[in-house]
Amino acid sequence: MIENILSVTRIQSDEKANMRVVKTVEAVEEVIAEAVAAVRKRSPQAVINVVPPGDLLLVPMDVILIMQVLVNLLENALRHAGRKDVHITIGAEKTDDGYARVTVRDDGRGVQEEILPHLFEIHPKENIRGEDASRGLGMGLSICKTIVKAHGGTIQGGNQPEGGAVFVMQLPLQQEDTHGE
Amino acid sequence: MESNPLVMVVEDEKVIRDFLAAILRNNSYRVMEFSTGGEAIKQLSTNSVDLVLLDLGLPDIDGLIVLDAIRQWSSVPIIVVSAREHEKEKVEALDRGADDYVTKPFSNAELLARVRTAMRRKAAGPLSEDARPPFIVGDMQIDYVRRQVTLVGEMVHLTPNEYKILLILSANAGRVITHETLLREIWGPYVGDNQILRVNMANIRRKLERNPGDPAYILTEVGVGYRMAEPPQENEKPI
Repeated sequence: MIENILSVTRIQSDEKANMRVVKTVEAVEEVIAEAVAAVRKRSPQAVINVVPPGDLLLVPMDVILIMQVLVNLLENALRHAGRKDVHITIGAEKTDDGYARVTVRDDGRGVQEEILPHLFEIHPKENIRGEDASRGLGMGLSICKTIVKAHGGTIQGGNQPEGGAVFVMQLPLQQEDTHGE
Repeated sequence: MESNPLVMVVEDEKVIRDFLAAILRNNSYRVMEFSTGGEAIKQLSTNSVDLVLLDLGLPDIDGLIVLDAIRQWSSVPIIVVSAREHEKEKVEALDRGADDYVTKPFSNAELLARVRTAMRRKAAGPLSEDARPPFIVGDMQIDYVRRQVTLVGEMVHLTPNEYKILLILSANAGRVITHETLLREIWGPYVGDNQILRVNMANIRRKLERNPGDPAYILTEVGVGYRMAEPPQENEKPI
């Protein structure tokens, strides 16, 4: 919660500078591991399965902001699953068109159909579920989208055919012919 | 009779200062509390302090300046208290001689582990590589004399640089080591590229960790560096 507010401050100061974020080349597997560790620290009962990484995926990013996106997605899965024993799976893979795709799945009740079109737009005051407004979660996803867009990436959410929610974030991989900062 | 270690807590926010002091006192440390950097520097020179917990956002002097002032004449272990998004500040503090940091919000266990590790570093002193006993954590063992790493008794084949990384991290187990320090120690001062380290670390994890995506031995401190998990300690209480 406190970190959410801090992220807003950070991204807003970036917005003034045309939404530019200061990027360093980071390993996606490290960012995922750190986000998972942060969530486990706050929710020790959380069952989070990390898919073992294949190739090393390097992405230029503001690592603290991207980590915040992943923490938000994982904590959303924990809170919205509608059950205490939810299992979350997070993994990353390379797409054919040069993106690192990070997928967060859970086996909870999924996202309500009427919320789906507005998933990333919900303002805290207009939040449909009262319980969530108090926790600032509606704010979370719109910030996530702002952060991902600032990295030239995309983020989408939906339900899996077999049940449970799924969120997919794609970030441009580092170009092969350039070197890291 | 030896007295319990004295910890100096330098933190302007009373709630956090009280919290830090309470955890430490409950674990039989003696505590001196300060809300300004100036007063802390003054008192440090007249007291035999065993460790300093230093918040970087002080009202009177920049915490980094306090760090510099202490380091000019004292090698007392210093742990910096910082917020998660201030990763540059953490790196800066480590570069200027802080031993470690804790990120808010932290647990009692985390704080106490950092304190113990930093104090042990002071007590242990340098030990030559050949005289060091094997490092054992979980299923991994590093034999410094034979320069061998085994995992559940099986030899792990590492490149010389991968072994050097393990050497540095294990010698400092429990403490964060910055990317810059590792790069400098292994590739020299002119490698400005973090990526070579990322690639080496990815390879080490694929050789050592059961799940390289969920590591148990080498933990990432995003934006700062790496921290090797510590072997369980026999004596978890101070003194």
